[in-house]
Amino acid sequence: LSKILVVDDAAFMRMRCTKMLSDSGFEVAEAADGNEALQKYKEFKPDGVLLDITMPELDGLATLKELIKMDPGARVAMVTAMGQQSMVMEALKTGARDFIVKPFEAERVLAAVRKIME
Amino acid sequence: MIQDVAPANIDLDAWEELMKKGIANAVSGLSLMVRKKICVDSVSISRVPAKDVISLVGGPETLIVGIYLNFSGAADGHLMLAHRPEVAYELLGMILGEEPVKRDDLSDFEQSALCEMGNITGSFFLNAIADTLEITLYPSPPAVIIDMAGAIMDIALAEILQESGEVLVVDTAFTTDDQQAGGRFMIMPDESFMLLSQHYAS
Repeated sequence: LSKILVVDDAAFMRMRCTKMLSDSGFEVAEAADGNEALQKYKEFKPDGVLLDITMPELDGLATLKELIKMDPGARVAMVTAMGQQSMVMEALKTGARDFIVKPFEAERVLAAVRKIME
Repeated sequence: MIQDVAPANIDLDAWEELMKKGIANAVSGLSLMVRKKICVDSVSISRVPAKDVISLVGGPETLIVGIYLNFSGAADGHLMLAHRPEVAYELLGMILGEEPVKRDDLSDFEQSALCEMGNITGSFFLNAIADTLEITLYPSPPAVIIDMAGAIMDIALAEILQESGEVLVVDTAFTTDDQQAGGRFMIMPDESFMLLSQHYAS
């Protein structure tokens, strides 16, 4: 099974993503903030990460930078309501491989997961 | 009148246009979230004493569900979605695809869904402004507070009250097109936010 780490401070969004990915055959782990995501990344060793931006403590962009530092090959797609052009550019420049604006359709997230796993 | 509330060096037409862009995008985000068309019933802009903001949501002892976030970056300010509990529960039912909640306490999961509604509405408002001006505005994670309006506003306005006794409020009233649910989206910008219109005008 391919493994996906879902990082979002909103339990509602984590649950939606987890259900959608589990139903599609992925093994899923969750993290509620950036620090937990970094810890889970080491333990769970996911094949891909879905990462929110607006989170308390360590936000998504700071987490992305740390993940890329830890693993330059990290496969990350941002999933956020904060779809400002400057944010998209910064995330892609930092190393995100896709950018999904919430609220999303299930198919869009699954397409992003397939894309980052290529 | 907006003329009465703005600093003298502000291009009011540009500022109002920016607000309308932001509100239209916020409503579009909310509509996507609850999967219903949303109609804007009214938009008003006023500068009021902080204690009077409470009257906009029905008086200090009115029980409301407030979803609050602040923002920073190129400008600062505060955003609040305020609903009567029965309306918030109706919206929650739409988000979760379930019957409306019929009780006063919300589970962590349900509160999280309301937070996400605030996150999407607030972020969409800021996205439109930021993209128009080619700047970045950072929303904070939202907080859901279920309490009397007076108590909620004490929390939400505490920071503003440290700076000024008056609050600039952009107040949008909305309903779903089937009139099933409605609420208020309130933007309380700092003066730095009004100054953004100078970039827009130029």
